[in-house]
Amino acid sequence: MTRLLRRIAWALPFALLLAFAGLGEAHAQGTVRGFVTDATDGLPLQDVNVVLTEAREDRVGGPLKYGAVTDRDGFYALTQIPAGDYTIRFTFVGYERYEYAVKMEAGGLLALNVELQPTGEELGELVVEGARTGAARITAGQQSIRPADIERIPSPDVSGDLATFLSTLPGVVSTGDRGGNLFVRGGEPTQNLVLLDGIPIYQPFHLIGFYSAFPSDLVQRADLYAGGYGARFAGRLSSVLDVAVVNGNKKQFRASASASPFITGLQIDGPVVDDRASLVFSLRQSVVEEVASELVDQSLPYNFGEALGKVHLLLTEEAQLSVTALRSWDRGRLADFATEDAVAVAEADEVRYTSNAIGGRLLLVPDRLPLLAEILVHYASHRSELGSRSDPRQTSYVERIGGEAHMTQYLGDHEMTFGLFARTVEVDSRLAGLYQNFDGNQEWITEVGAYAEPSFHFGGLQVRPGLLVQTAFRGATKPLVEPRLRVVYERGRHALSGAAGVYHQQIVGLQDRRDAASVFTVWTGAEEARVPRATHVIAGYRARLPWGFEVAGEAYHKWLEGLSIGEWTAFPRFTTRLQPAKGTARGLDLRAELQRARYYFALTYGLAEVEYQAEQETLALWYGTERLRYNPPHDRRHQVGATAAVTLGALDLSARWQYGSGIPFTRAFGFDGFVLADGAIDVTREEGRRRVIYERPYNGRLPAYHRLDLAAAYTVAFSGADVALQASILNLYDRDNVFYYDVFTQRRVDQLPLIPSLGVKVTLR
Amino acid sequence: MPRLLAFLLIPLLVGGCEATVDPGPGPDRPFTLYGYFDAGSDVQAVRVIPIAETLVPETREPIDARVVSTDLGTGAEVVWRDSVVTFASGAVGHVYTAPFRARFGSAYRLTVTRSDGLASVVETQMPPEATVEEQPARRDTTIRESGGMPADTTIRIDPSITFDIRGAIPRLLDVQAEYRVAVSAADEDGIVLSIPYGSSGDTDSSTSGLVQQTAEGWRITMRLEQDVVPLKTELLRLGLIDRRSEPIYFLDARLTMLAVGEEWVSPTGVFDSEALVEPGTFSNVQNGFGFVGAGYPITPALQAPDDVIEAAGFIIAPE
Repeated sequence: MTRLLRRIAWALPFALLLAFAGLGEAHAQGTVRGFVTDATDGLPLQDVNVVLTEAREDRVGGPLKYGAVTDRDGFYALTQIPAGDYTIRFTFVGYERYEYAVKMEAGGLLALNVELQPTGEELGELVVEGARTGAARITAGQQSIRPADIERIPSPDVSGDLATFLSTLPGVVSTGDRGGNLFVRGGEPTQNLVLLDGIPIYQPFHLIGFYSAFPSDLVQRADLYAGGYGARFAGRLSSVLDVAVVNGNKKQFRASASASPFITGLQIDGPVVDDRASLVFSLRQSVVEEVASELVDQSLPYNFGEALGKVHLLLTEEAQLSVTALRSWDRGRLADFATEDAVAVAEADEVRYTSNAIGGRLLLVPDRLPLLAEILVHYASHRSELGSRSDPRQTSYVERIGGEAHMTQYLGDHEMTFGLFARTVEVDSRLAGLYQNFDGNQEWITEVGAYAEPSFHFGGLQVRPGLLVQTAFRGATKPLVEPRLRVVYERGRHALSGAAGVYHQQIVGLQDRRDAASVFTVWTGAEEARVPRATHVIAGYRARLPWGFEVAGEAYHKWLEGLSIGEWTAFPRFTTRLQPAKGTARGLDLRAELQRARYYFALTYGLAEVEYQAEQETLALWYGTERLRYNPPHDRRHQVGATAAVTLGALDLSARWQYGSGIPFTRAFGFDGFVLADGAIDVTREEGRRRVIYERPYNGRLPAYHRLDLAAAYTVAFSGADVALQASILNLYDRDNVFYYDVFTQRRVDQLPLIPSLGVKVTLR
Repeated sequence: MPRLLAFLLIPLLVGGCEATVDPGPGPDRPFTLYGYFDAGSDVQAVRVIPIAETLVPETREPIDARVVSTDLGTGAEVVWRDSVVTFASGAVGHVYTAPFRARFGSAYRLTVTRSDGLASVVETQMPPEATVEEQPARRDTTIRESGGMPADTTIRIDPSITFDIRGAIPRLLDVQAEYRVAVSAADEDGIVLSIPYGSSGDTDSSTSGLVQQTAEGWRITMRLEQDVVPLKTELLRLGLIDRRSEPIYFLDARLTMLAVGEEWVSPTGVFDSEALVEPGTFSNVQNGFGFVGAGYPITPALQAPDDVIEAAGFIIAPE
């Protein structure tokens, strides 16, 4: 029976695929498709409205009309069009309208790539809805982010960073200014899938919380799926951050350099072959250790940076190839800054991590099929070390090579997406007893999977069921079946959305969450009998109100199983045994936003509860229960965020206030010693070990976190160059926000104090 | 609506102003104690660890503690004296001692009082004195007949020796068979190796059954023949022999154990520090932590004759 079920599970995506292919063939009629780009730089334009209108006007009920919106590659497709004469119209805010007369033949396929010319006029007060992103624009857990959204958030640098924006979202809990960990709707950082042009990045966030490997200048668009994501994404439990790097400018060259007390940057962008190939490259290196630490008169032992580049090539009218590469590095010490003079201690606590990634993406539109094919190959690695540079006491390495193919077939109002993937992951760790019942290991794991995900559109209703089947080859190969569903219903100003899905994670990241100041992560294959699994359910409502107001609310619930967490022990040590656990994360996000051309305001609130149930064997002995419920240290119950931005000519002003209620920590009642009284103990010889006395794990809460940041940016245009100046103040009222509290010494390490900052950026055109 | 807003905002504002970390109520118990009253020793010793607010090592400085024991049978009180011991690691600890021999069958109270009056107290019961009797090895005699007449006699010796521990001893802890053996006839001193036999009530499958309760007390079976295997394993590990087939010379042997009171029992059945380290899990100290028991060692020497020793696989060392 089990074997039969496995076969059915494997066959289902292919059966769905064949059924849809047959449907498409039966209705094959004319198709018009192509890419839409900006005429001045060759960059793809997303969310362009494409409308095909029948030329004849004598049809009863009016002429036939077909519509589509371009995707992130600027691609559109209109299918199942009867033969006849039509007018195709492309409209996009800020660009001149483009109209073209086309003649469709039965079964014909017309490729039409279009360049839109910017109008050069200032936008009106209202932003076109189709292109809108922002705090309140969330649909079934998915939120799209554009550089403009990021730039509204005050940061110490002239250019923004995706990490700064993510930390403003309700449901996203960060460790603050330090730490580089993001928890999305209750999930652990290692349960987030971060993709850069389809390449997985294992640790994209730098040790200073303002920065990631994604400077806003290089982000074309990012999609954050806080849960309930579709069948295209596999291998992580909690969320997906899908970042698209901007293609380089194919028309003209541009270079910029920036400096601030935190980071310096250099960027070039331009054509390699006019109109055909472009290159964009960014290099950033932190100076926080040298400059910002002087500003705050406090040691800030962080060194980080990244080099990110992308080559984009138009192979033919129907094929595009891009190669993206990233190298990101971090070195720093999070635990205790008071022992600056103790070099040995500093080295012992130092964490270092490096991520490398390179990948290619081929976008192909076959000649005769109403199909968009996307083929990706990637290589990614991540090395993490803890301890001295010459002889780290713990190391973890993960390396992954893989490929995947995604096909989208356009069938009138409906679409069929299907794909498959294969990847091999090597994990190698040396842990020196960090996890006492898990030795460091070296292991190769190969994962394969296939999915099918049709998308049905019925008026305002979009239904997107999906099914993913995957397995890992390591001993027994057990297929994991993951059904997914996304539903959106839009009517007028209102939109209802929902999502649900089952998710597994074969390659897991272990972090000792007892140690808030640790970002050291061990990647390893999950136990075959206990592959972590999550089930998500999301329900949301969004309404567009007059005058650019938008409100949204979304409730979510995640069930988590097969987790591995550190066991508790009264021995005050940073090594632990792993114990099984399961958990739930649930919450409600509320968002209100006012978006006008010159000013912007957003208010968000997140209510959340994360609860784990530990299953440690000794729990019954210690607490009289076999399962201990507790709130892990990322259980931030309340989050409030307010963002305001005003544009006054060349001057941009922005402010951000954020509040987060206290997160759990383990309160100690005292410290004594422990001697194992297992016989005739000689107390004059038996030293015993020190012990921490606590009642229950995470029984206390740290004080609330809140901070106000302000920024003002002014851009002056010269002939051939723009100079942007930015002044910012972070933590304006100098709030003492706790980053880390050492229960052993009762010492606290705070987040960053008030920091004034002045940044400059020069762009050569 | 205003009420709802107030409900949401007031806790936020009140909680938001607080910036100090509440580390907890602090230690409400003064001391952690380890040790046991020993009826086999003329000096009693107990480790006293003050419960501290932070994780700092113990120092040589005198600690704020007055330690008094009371014999609950006689009412006799003894004030104990502090001594600072230095352990192998260099760390120090405070061990309080008193020069008396604990009485068999008597109950004791130990009170450790801080100058503010806060005290940790423990009471424990010394088990009564035990007597030990070694039973002779079992010998099975087989007589082979020929033509209706006894022709050949074979005596098979079972090299297992039982010891009967008689007395109302609630528990026996850390029972071990201690062998002094040599790898050559010339080695007169030999080496002492111990084989763990567990404790009474042990749930460890490798040792359970070796210590059995009887109507008169306890019975321990010393498995001479089986013990040769772990002894040779240890000698191999130490590099004293090269092969298991090499002979080992028997010099002497004994059992060692601690006869203890009822309270000296692990709640898990085994003494695992990872499980028992949780404060309060294995503790009999009131208003404090740790464990103070009462007991005395029992160490009967093996008296078995040479043929039993040889039957187990040892070679009797020449006199």
